[in-house]
Amino acid sequence: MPCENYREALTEAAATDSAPSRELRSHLAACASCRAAFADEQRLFAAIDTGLRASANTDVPPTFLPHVRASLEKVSDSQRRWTPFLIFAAASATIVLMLFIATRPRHAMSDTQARQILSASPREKPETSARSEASGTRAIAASSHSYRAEPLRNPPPANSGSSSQFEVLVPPEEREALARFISLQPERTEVVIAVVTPARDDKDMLLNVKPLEIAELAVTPLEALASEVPDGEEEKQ
Amino acid sequence: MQELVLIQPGRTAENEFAQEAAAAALRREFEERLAECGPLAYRVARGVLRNIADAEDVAQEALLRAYRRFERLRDRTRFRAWLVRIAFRLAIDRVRSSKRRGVRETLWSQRAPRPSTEDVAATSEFQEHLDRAMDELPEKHRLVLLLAAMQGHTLEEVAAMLALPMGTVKSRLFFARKQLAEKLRCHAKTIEKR
Repeated sequence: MPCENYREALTEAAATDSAPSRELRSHLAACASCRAAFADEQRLFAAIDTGLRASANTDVPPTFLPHVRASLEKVSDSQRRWTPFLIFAAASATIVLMLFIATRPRHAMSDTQARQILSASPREKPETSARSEASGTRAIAASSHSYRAEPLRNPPPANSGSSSQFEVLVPPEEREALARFISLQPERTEVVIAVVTPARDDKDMLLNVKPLEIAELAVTPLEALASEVPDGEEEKQ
Repeated sequence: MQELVLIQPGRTAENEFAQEAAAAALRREFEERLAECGPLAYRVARGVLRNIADAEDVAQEALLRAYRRFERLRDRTRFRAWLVRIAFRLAIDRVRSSKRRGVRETLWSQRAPRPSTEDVAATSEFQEHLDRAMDELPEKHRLVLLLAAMQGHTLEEVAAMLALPMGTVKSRLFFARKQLAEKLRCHAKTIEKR
């Protein structure tokens, strides 16, 4: 086998610092140039290891640890000094936040309430507006999508204002916008009710179809018809 | 006569004492680890930066960072590995920023910063080539090489430190050494000069 075929095995044996395989050993015994190449490789890897060890095991300067300890002392001091200020700042921020929440003007319907209404039923039924109109459903014309409000089981009266019983189907990306719109109607509850009022959903109801009533037919021969010429016509003839 | 003691609201003397005792215990524990792992952080930084002043600076920063977050470290037995990673990352960042700065300064003054006398003394021609070849290695290979070359580190310890399987450490080490050999083969003649 030519020497080139042993190059890889030779490098690998030198890199792993392991004994060459029997085949490689027998080739090395016979080939002086490969023996020299193997020795070079071993020397190269030994030099690499020596260099690596030299740079990895440098002496630590004697001033290093005392410097670090001094820095730690400074950090501890500054932490001790800043801790009361940080506590004070956090407490102040909390008080300000609580005051803000307490003094905030209240709406008739808060954002969260509106969201609760909307997120009560995430079921989505995209429908075309034509179908909504055909089935008598009132659609909210806020976008190209149709929003349909329908009762869960027993629809409450439209003016009852208990909107929590409604199921509002809104696409998820527009739910927040609708919630905001509803929350911005503090005084005009009738608008909110109109938005979430269930439309009469009688499209699924069974139709009452009366059967057609067809009168019985009387079959008479043609001759008889001819003889039954009206009296007036006879007179004309 | 009745004696009155003024106490800060929401804070009792016992609370304050307990907090201070806990902080002191934490500090003591960290100091123990500092003596054990401080040199390791320095050597990792030195292995990447190859400059005494920069290595000291980076290792100190790594130790301070570790101290600030020491309380949050759940598994204290992982401190060594944690510190090594912090030091290595900071050292790599330092190299990158100094490279950028170096480019700017070279463009400005057309003169590269001169290495210190100590640094010159510590390097030979082959060592310089080796350092340059090390810089070109992937970071993961470089860290494994550095840790494996440190005295007293077995491959098992390196694997545990880096939270890697033993096989991964071995293969990274093998490929890193092979890459170095490929880069340094043309400089093999300089070995004799050492």
